[in-house]
Parts: sequence; C-alpha cells; structure tokens
Amino acid sequence: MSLGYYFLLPVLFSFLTPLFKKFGSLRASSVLLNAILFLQAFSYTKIALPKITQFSIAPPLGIAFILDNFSLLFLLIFTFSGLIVSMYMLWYFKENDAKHEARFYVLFHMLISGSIGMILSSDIFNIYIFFEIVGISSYSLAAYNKDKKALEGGIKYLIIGSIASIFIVFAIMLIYLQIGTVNLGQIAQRYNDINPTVGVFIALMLLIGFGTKAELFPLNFWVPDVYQGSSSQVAGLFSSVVSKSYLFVFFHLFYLFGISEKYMLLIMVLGAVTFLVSELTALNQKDIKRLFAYSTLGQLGLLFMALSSNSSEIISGALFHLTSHSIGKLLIFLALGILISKFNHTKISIFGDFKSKFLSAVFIIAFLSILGIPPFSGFVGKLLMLKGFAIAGNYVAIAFILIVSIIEAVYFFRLIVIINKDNGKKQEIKVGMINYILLSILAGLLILFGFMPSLLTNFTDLATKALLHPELYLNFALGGGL
Amino acid sequence: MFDFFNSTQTIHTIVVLGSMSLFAIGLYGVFTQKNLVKVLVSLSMMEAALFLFFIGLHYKKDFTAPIVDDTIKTFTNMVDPVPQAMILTTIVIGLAILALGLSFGIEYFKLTGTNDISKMNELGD
Repeated sequence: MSLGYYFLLPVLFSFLTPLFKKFGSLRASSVLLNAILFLQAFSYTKIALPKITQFSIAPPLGIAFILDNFSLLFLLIFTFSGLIVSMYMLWYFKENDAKHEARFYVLFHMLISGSIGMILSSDIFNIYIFFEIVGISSYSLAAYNKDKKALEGGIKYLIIGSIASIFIVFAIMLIYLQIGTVNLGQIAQRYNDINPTVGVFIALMLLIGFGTKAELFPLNFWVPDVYQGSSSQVAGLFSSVVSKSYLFVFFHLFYLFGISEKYMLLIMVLGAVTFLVSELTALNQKDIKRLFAYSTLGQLGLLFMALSSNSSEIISGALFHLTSHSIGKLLIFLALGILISKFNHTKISIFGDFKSKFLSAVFIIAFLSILGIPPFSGFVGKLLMLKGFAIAGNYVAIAFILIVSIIEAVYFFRLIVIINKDNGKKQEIKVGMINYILLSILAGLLILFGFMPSLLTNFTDLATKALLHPELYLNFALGGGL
Repeated sequence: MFDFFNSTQTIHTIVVLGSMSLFAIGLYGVFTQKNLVKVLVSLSMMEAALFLFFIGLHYKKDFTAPIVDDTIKTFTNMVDPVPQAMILTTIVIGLAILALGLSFGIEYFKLTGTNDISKMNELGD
C-alpha cells in the first residue's frame, strides 16, 4: 500500500462522514478504517525499511513521504490508538448524547491523518501543513462539548497554537531564504552553510514552535486547561497521539540537522525542569483531568530529557517508555471516561465512588506501569533509561529521575488508596462488553511488555538506530531510494 | 535620484524594517489585548508581517513572473515562484484558523455575554 493512503484515507473518510452517517454505518466504518490502517502498518514490521512514496515529481524537487524504522514505531502507536479510540466510541455514543457524532468523527479522522502525515513527510513545509491540520482539528476537539469550560480551553489552545505555528513559519522562511530548499535531506546537507546568527534564530524559533506544541517547559501552561476542558477520550488522544507526534518532529529535525552539544544540554535541562515542576504541581491538583495532564507533562519532560542525550541505550529506553506511556495514558483516560459518564464530575473523589473489581485492577495496573514498578512495562523502560545514563556516566540524571519518581509515587499511591478505601457510598458500575475487551487489551499489553520486553526492544533498537544514524533516510529524502 | 529608492537593496531594507515592526506590533497586541477579537486581529497582523517579509525579500528589480509563453525562450530574469506558492498555502491556513477562532468567540459570547480573555477563568481547581 502506498504511504499516501495513511493520511489520504482518513481525510477522505472525514469528508464522506455525512454519507456514512446517512447509511447508518458511521461508527462501524470508522472502526474498519482504523483496523485496516493498523494492520497495514503492522505488516511493515516484516519488510526492510525505509520505504518511499513520491507524488508526481521525484525528490528532492517533488513531494515525498518516507517511512523508516523510527517513524514506524510512531505509526504503530498512532494507528493503534486510533483503532482503540474508534472502538471505544462505539460504547461512548451508545451511553452519551450522539446527536453530534458526525462532528466528532470528522475531527477525529483529521487528527489521525494529520499526525500520521506529520511523521511521514520528508519536507519541512509539508510538516507545517500537517502540523496545522492536527492543530485545527485538536482546537475543535478541545471545544467539542461547547460548554463554557470546553470553549475556554479551545480558545486558549487556539491562541497559543497559532503563535507557535507563526514561529514555525518564520523558521521555515528563514531556512528557505538562507539555503533555498524545504527538503529535509537538502536542509540537513547544507545546514552548516546557514549564517550562524540566523542559525540561532532558526533553532530558537523551531524550539519555541515545536516546544509549545510538544508541551515543553516553560511553554506548557496551556496544557492542563485544554485537558480539563475536553472530554476524556479526546484528552487520551492528546496525551498519546498529538503530543507524541510533535515530539517526533522535534527530535527528528533535531538529529537530522545535527544540532550542537549546547542545544542538547539546553533541551535536557528544560526537560528536567518540565519533569520536576509538573510532578510537583500534580501533587496538589483536585481535578482528576488536570492531575493526569500534569502527569503527562512530567512524562514528556522525562522523554525530552532522555531523547536529547544522543546515546543509543538511553534513547532506546526512552522509546520503550514512550510506547508504554502512550498505552498507559490511553488506558487511564478511557477508563476515566466510563466513570465520568456515570458520575458527571471530575473531582479526585470520583475514584472513591465506584465499585468494580475490573476497573480498579486496570487503573492500578496503569498507575504502576507509569510509575515504573515491576512487572509492568513502564518499569522496563525506566530501567533501560537509567542503565543508559549509568553507561554514559551521568549519575546526576539517575539521582534526579529517581527522586522525581518518588514525588510521582506520592500522588499515584494516594489515588490507589482512594480506589481501595471503602467510604460507604460506593456504587456498582456497568463497564460494557466493548470496554471489557478494550481495557483488557491495553492492560494486557502493559503486562506483556513487562514480562517479555524483547517484543518491543526489537523495534526500539531499530528505531534508535534510524534516529541516530539517519544516512539512509537522507539518501531516500534526496531521491536516492527510487 | 529615484534610482536609489528603486534599487533592490533599498526595497529589501524597507521590507525588512516595515514587516518586522508590524510583527512586533502584532506580538505586543497578542500579549496585551483583553478582547478575543483584538487578539485574533493581532495574530493576523503577525501572519501578514511574515507574508510581506518573505515575498518582499524575493523581489528583484526588473525580474518577471516565471510564466513561459511563445515569446520567452530563456529562463533568465525570473523570480523564484516557490515563495508565492508557499505563502498562498499559509494564507489559506491562517484564514481557517481566524474563522475557527471567531466562531469559538461567537459561541463563548452566546454563553457568557463577554469576549474578555482575562475573565476566562472557569478552568482550574
């Protein structure tokens, strides 16, 4: 299958949504589409990568889309999350108001299409276009409920997001003025020809633009508001797909252009500050969605810290952690959606109100996995990262990660205590057949990767190699692979 | 005397100075204005400044548009068409975002009767 289908099919689907709605098969067809995308993406694990698809003119002049081992990992995460969320929506729209379901499906598929396009594009202007597709659909998804909170979150997200995108356009224009190309391969080749003063501006603007969207300190003040205002499954998408796609582009450009040591240290420090500040702020949150938004910020800070280290062991561990964080946060937000649709509030006490052995178990598995407690998959990721830092001799980072993890443990264990405490007003909750299956799959993956990490480390090692040694990618981007 | 004002160098200088001051005004507006509509206008100003900057710097005196017909056989003295294409795309995106932002503003006004950003504090603990 040509790589173009990964973003063209979802876009086509969103344009045809009214048609599907008229024939009454909208929800089922959405599941089918996402299943096709995921299975097709999974089949790429069997063949040699990179793979290239060009549109009419050969690169470097024309538009091309490249899939290498690094983008494959993200493609798998995104299509998998898309599949899970589309199946979850089968339950959601049966239990909740489905009057505006068409609107959700249009935006949801735009979001998936944009995120996938962003990781496959091999030219920086196309990355910008997909960046805006993701942007516009996520602003609208944040405001989907159209109540005061949702609109406020949407407006804040839109203003901050537009400023970020203006800075990215500025950076792209400066790159084009300096070296006259937007192809990633050519930019990487000639990056040293850029005037050093302008080069600082370009790096700074890319940092502001992608840093804002990828939720890096100090540009992440909008995140909790947006998560709090949007519905739970949308927050899950933001946490596991949207922020990860910006993270991908950030580090893809970072290593392709060969950014200098100074910037690596800067990003590492910013990541560490994000990690610390977010986990500290999470401690005294009373709204459950805000709490998980801060927890997401913290994990992203940790990933920023690890991914900017330029060492293959640490990055491989970070990608492992990224995968298990995506699965874990999706699990938390989807399960939270079940609670919120029953109890209609988002205070932390919601965890004390329900009685369901299954839900308690999946929540606890997800919490422990994100914390990095054995035998769950988050533990392996954190262990690999710490091992990498030990090999690199960076003991300050190890101590820092361990200390901040203790802060993180405080609020997660508090939540576990609330879940288990009998406060006398616990209510039975109906989970629904689809949700039993979905949540068991997600929790099962967290346990599976914990017991058999080699299933995932095979991918992450290849992805790390593709990220740190992009020669093959550059060759393809310059048109050598055709 | 007018040659000086008509030279590529002078026009580039004017474009850079003008567009960057417009950009600064827009940035100032985004961070100081309270009314949502004014903030969106400031964002549009920042975008317009970038368009002027990029298109203006690709102006070259006596160069023509890259359109080939029967009378033109050589490709000399033609400006680069890529910036125009890129700016056209960016304008469309900017318009979409502006429309979306205004529609959010209208919905919010219907609910609360205000468009003041500093009064948007529903979210939080």
